[in-house]
Amino acid sequence: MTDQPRILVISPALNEQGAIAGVVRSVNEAMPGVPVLVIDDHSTDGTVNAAMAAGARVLCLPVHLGLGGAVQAGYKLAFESGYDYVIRVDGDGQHNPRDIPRILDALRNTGAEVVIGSRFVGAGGAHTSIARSAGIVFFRLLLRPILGRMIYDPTSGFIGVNRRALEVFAHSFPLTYPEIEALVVLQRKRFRFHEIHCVMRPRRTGKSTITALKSLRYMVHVLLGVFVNILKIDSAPAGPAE
Amino acid sequence: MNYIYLFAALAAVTLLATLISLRRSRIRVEYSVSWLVAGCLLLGCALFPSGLLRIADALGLDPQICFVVFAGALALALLFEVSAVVSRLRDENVILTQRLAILEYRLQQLQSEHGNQSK
Repeated sequence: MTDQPRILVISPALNEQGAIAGVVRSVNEAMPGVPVLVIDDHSTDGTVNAAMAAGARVLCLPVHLGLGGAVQAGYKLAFESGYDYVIRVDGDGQHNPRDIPRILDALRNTGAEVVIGSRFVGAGGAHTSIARSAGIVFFRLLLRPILGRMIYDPTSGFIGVNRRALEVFAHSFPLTYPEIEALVVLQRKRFRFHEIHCVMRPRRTGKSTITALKSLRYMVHVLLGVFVNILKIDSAPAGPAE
Repeated sequence: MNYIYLFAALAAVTLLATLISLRRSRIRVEYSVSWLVAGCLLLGCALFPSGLLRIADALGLDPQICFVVFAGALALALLFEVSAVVSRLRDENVILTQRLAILEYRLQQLQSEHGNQSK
């Protein structure tokens, strides 16, 4: 009997009819034989059919939960199904699935529980607005003393986790703007992070969930979420076994 | 002492609205307790204002301001309780939604496997 690690690629999607099939096909090309699970956050367009037609498995949420709720649903299913590594790729096509093997290698070889595909480690990876870049710098500096090290791209949704981090995320995951708060959740468990350089592509279709008008709300919400997560009494089940 | 009448009216409205809602099953008993307590406190202040007047005197506050602060604190406490209940319901809703989606997914997988085996 082979003892190959089980790998799953998850992709949260909301009204990504135009992009999701390309994402699924790109993942299948980059990682043949690895299942792709699209988590449909109650889309009103043809996202589900497009994903299925491209060969993905689809987890359909019966009501809209938001990004965090959708991603956690994928983590729960992956954890309960016994997967060892889960890579999250956003459904808008901005992440290049060719980087997935490098994220997996980093998960296996660095001892880190979480590997982040980062626009800002190395050169040439950033395709983002000035406002968002400023926000990233702000949160980078804010998180530096909390995490005990610099995370260059704390808002990246291109994330790989091993089973230990998967167990934590299956039980406790921020619901609204999850990326930054999730780092604090993991820091509380003394988990290690590793960043590798990834080139993010500009969005081709659909709309970003973070618009200019929502930026201020995003900043306030995430700031509050970070401090709440620091102060929170841990009510989740016991952390992963050593 | 118009504010005393205002308190009495507020108490009557709160108690009546809560009791009518309970009777029509529009509010659950466990969530009506806070409103009934708030209504009784308002009524108590209207019927026996001397206690609150003594507190106002001790704090050096104008009695009317003291009554308004008391009513405001009561309202904030009720709003806080509502926020806590809504937050808990939101969390439970997320868990149930995720569980439902996962079960539907597993059911579809089973049906698909069963269909393949039948062929």
